[in-house]
Amino acid sequence: MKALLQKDFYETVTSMRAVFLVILIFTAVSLLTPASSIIIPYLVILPGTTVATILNLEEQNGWMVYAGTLPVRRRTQVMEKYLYGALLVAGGSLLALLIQWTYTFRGQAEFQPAVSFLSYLSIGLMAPALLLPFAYWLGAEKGRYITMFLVIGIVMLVLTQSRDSGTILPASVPVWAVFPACVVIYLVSMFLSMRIYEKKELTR
Amino acid sequence: MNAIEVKDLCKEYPGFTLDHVSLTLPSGCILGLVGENGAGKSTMIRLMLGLIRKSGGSISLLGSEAGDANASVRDDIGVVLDNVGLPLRIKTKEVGKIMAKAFSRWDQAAYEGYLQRFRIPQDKRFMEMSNGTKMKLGLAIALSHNAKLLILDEATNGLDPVARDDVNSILMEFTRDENHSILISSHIVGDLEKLCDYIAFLHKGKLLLCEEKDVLASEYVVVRGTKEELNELPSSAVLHKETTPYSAAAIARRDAVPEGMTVSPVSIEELFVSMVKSESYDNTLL
Repeated sequence: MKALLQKDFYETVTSMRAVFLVILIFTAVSLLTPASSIIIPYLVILPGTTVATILNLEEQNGWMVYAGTLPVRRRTQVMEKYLYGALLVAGGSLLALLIQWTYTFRGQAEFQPAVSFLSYLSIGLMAPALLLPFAYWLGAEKGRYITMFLVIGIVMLVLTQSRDSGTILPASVPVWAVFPACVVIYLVSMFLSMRIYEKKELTR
Repeated sequence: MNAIEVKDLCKEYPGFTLDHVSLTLPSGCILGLVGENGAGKSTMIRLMLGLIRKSGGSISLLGSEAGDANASVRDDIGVVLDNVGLPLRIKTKEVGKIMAKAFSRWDQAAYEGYLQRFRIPQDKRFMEMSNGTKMKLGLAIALSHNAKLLILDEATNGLDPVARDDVNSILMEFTRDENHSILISSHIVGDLEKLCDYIAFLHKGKLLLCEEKDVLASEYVVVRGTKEELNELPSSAVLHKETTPYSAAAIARRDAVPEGMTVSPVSIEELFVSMVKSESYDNTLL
């Protein structure tokens, strides 16, 4: 597990510099301009999709087969992806929380750190929860299209529902109920991916 | 103990069947898997590693049933496949750090020694390496975690002759320990002939034979003479015959060759090619 986490960390740092640059620019813009919630969904959703991108890279460069020769069970390999995804989502959510905190100095939004953080985590975890089973099932190429449509759909939904709510969940949605439900969905997704990946034929 | 025991192994794909293959690799030995493209060598190796699921039969590696449930046995197995699937942007030294966490008996000093021996810089990214260097890195990893069994699928094919010779020496050193074994598949039959104790011929998903190399060398010979002289050989003993306007040669069982005929030792490559070309192999050998 530690080996896989370290490998994914290297992969993220070396292969996704452009993504980090975009995050940095968006963050700087959001700090220097009047408060805008555009960056928040980006910071919350993008980290979760990163694991699906890593999975795409793994399929392309043959790591999935190579990992199959290491003393690591397939279910552990899947578990690692979900753990890494959760860590990335938590990191993105913390950054989003930090940015939202700066808005309070400009008096443009109510700041409820716990509610905001849980709502960020809830939304953020949904991206890998939806994407990874498709990526494990259909493979990188088809999974990428599904990723694109799902992410666009989630972003559009969040942007249309979250205006002026102070969080990125619709104001009417109770975050204390949503967060545990999202965690359960995340775990169910993980077990589904394990079942799919354990039956997968690794030929290339 | 046998390092590998395969019994009645089957795998069905549309248009290809690995058909009830059985073979054994005793500990301390090297088994060479020979076959043309599409013969089933890589399929067999992927089945052994649990990368694909078998349709039937059983596989035992180092005394444990092969498969995902026994992934821990892979701690004792060094694997190099035809594509070393490391992340493209990763550096050689980072590979070492990852593998140190993956394998319980990782030997960093051995890894660095192999990197030096293969002239692979520590800061080189995987994507910057030639195919041969990628293969050498794969070998360095496989040899650096105190494995008892090496499984090499076309692992030396991309190497230049000097590097291949060096790798062959390393593999010979590896099997000096009687607990160490190697399964190696390759198109370069000449290398396998130098290295292996046992040879297995795979053709269209069927195992033509799996035999000690020395036994093969003693059982078969190349017979040269005129076309008329070769016609005196019993047809059941002849694996393959080739005649030109100037000469004729056949590969035949040594015990069936009449005295007085000119015979010479047969190479593994000649034997394999003749078996594949011969339509009678299934009558004479199976």
